[in-house]
Amino acid sequence: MSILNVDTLQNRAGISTAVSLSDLYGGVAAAWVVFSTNNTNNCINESFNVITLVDEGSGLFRAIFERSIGIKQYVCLASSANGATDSSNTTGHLRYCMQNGVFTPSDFRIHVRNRGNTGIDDNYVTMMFFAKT
Amino acid sequence: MSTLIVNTLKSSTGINTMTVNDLNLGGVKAWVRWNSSSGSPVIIDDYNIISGSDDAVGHVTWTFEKPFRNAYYTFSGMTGNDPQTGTTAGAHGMIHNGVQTASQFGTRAVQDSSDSSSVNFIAEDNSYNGCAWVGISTGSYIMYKST
Repeated sequence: MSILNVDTLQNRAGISTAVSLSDLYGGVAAAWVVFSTNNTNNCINESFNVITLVDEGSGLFRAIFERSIGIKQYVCLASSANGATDSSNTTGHLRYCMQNGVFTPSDFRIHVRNRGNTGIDDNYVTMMFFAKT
Repeated sequence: MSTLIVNTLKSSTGINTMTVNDLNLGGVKAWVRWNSSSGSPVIIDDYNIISGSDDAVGHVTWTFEKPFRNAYYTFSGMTGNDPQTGTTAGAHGMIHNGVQTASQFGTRAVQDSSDSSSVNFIAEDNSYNGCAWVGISTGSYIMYKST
């Protein structure tokens, strides 16, 4: 295994603005997950640093990180839609994704609701997390 | 061209440590900001976007220059109807709509219709729109996942 101890990266030509390692760290997602919760596809489709997804109710999901993010001051961005794998494939629904419930450096809960404020299970739900440490 | 082959990047203070795998898997793979107030999407700036086709009101199909390895990648977006000279009235959102493949993704800017139905919205061409995607690019060297 090789480790490069460095504070700043810059291309050889010096054209690209140098980027510090802390900037790099803060600008890269610490974790993300794509999952299905509707029909027969109740599973994680793809992920990075999310080891488990817990179904805690209609539209309510808890993502558990494989490696703790380390701090609570991280941001979560989420989206939800019927998705192309849904046989109806309407994706014509407005969704609201909100933080809901306890969140820690090790896990985070979101609630997906439709505009009628009803929790809903979709086929294409995504979450991405960014942190600075 | 020079290439540095390394597994882990570490700051001299030791506070920030990141593997190249983390960098590869966690990096934002595409983003775009566009203006659709004329009725068609005009890209203001982007990363890894070849084109955006106008498919219907508020509806754009984006084509990635370097595709993902499959159709499963994260998406987040937002929209507003006047970013600089006025305020955004009403509740607006950017939803996934239409195609979802490794190389293309459909988005739609919408406004809450105030209809009592739980599914209705009004599609709209707005001036301020932005989206970002994070996932695994095709051809990436992946140690974290093999499939």
